[in-house]
Amino acid sequence: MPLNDKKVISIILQQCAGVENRCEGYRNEIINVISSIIEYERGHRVQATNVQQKINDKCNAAARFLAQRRGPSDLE
Amino acid sequence: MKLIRAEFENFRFLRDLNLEFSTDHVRKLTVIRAANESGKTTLLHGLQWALYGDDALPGKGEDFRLHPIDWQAADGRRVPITATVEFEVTTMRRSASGMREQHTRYRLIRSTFEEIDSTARRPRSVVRLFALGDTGTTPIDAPEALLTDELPPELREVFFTDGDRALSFIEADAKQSTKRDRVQRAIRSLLGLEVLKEAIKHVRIAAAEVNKHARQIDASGELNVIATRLEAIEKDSVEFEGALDDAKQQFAAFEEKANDTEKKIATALQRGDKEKLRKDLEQTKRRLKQLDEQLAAANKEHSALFRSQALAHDLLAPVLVGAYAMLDELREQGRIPNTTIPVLQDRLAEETCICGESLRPGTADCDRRREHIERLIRDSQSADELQETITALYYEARLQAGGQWLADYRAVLAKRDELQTLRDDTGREYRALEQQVDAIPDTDIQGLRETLRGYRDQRDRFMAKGVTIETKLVGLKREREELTVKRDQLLREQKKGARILAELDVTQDVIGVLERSYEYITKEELKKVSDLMNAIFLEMIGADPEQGAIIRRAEVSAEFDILVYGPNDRPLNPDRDLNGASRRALTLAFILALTKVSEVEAPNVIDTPLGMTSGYVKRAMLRTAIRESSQLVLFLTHDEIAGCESILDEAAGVIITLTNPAHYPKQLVNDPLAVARKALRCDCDHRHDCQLCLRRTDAQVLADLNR
Repeated sequence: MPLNDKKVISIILQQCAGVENRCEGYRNEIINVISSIIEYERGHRVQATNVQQKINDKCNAAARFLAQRRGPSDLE
Repeated sequence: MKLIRAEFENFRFLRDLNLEFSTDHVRKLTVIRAANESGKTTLLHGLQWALYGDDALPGKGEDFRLHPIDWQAADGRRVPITATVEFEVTTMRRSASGMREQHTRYRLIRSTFEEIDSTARRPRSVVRLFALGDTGTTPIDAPEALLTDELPPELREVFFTDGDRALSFIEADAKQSTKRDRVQRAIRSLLGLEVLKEAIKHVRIAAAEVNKHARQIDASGELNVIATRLEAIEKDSVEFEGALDDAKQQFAAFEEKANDTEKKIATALQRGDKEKLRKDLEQTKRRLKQLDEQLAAANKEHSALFRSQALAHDLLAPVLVGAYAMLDELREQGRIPNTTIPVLQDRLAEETCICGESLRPGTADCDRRREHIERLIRDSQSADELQETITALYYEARLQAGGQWLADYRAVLAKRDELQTLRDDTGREYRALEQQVDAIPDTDIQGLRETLRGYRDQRDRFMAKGVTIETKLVGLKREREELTVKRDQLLREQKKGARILAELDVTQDVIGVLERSYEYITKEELKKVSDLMNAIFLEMIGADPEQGAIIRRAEVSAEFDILVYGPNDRPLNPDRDLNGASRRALTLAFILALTKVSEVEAPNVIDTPLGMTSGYVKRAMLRTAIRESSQLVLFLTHDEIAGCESILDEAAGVIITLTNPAHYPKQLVNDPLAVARKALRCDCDHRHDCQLCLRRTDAQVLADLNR
């Protein structure tokens, strides 16, 4: 395994400490998004997948979480 | 990834061979002990073929026979060739309780066949991969993709190394850019930079999509204008970044070309400027021609001396003394010079005699006088020839001083000798120049200088282009920041803006983390690789900078060059200034450091890593390699093992001996009774021999010990 997920993810987690916690649980949500993105990218290298769509969806889900926490009044 | 076992059928010398690899965490070393010509390198090729495919064979498999050389047609004209490798892969999977390790075992079978005609052509090999689970064996679709992911070709030389040529990262024959590219690709691949780069690209696209949505919710207002401009900025930024990368690459490429050309010019000039030498040669040739002409003239002058009157005069000088006395006498008598006839003729013409009497016709006694004078003229005329000769002789005798010819001869001879010496010297000079010209390869220095100017122009052009693009990017970044603040402000005022704002925040935060991670790995992890490589390298070669060692430190530069420094930080050329053992140690140190820092669990399979080493360096290399590897497989000769037995006692989990039956009777004590030529395996370790592997030299040592 040339790419060590554990190593890369530990570095990403380290860098996530610098993310503004825009709402409660937001930082964890970002960690979750990035972990998924790395997994999608790894999977995409082995077998071509619609990685762009998966990433868009993952970001959307995190955005929904953020918007909900900020105030559900103006959500669609 | 860990190797578990391998099996080969009809792969060259490996007709039927099974091997196990140590998977123990403590005794992580596997040793394949084999004398020369016993299948070590074939085994390395076999493993690489199995895992990386046909392109991993020497020469990409072109004209590379796979079947055993002594295959008998009676056994079939089509030879099946198979390599089977079992390995384990560890991946991290997210689960409800967080990240957890997942171990999967695979069995890879690569096969092909060859017809035993003269060309031994074969179809491309076929690979099948199976996941080995508790419940059974599951075939894996598209195994090449998984293998490429697990074993990228750019890491082949990191994981599978031929010790004799374990220099691909520093070898002299490779261009600087090639070596840099190999190092960079290995580092990027092992440290996960490629995956991060792809992730950044995809999240940027996602962010651009969100910005598009922002534009759509205020189709005719300011938000639309700003979002549209942001979209354009994003597009331009991507384009400019690509152009900047390209400009940097082009700059580096032309810089390297210019440096190479400069080196070529310097080397050529060191040998001599062929053009200048050719001009010198032409000039010398012209000088030679002139000297030859002058010499020919001098020779003529020399031979002319022997035909000169002066020679006769000098030779006859004793006889001529008497003649000169007579001539002087004649002059005193007035007979020299001979002037009688013109005087008498004048008198007749003037009609007045010398005595003053008239000679005019009709005057007294005129006829008698005239007749007398005319008779005198006639008499003088009859003696004229003799008279003239005597006169000439007299005057010439006066001019010829004695010994003149000898002086002339000496002068001519000296001149001719001087010319001959000059000619000989110039001839030697010409020959020497000719030899110098012949010794210099045909290097067009003038042409190289023009090429160098061209490269430098190109390099400077790309540098200027890079600076321009960087300036543009800085401007775009500032504009983007300003517009992003405005856009976000406007989005807050929009009814549907909050959601889009949240999407933008998420994508920007994700991009930020990924970019910082990328930068961190590029800077910090690369430095870790560099520092660890330095430590391993110095330990391996036993160099202590504090004790005045020549090699002070090694590093991987930010440009991915492997550099070595001597005293006063003076750079050493790894492929020219280091000895064979140190070069081997440097390459191994880089490979081990990279694998270690990446924390990738991967095997390091190395064929004859300890060749060209002995004593302290050999033991230090082995000990360090064992310590820094997660799984180490070494193919060692008996000589490489000698002196390292205690290290193997501690670290080796599996030791296998391979024997070539053809070594009997010269090198093997016992006849292995093998029907075919093939590698024979036994489980003898580094301290034992059996009936099969007992070698002559070993037997002699044993006999000595027993005595």
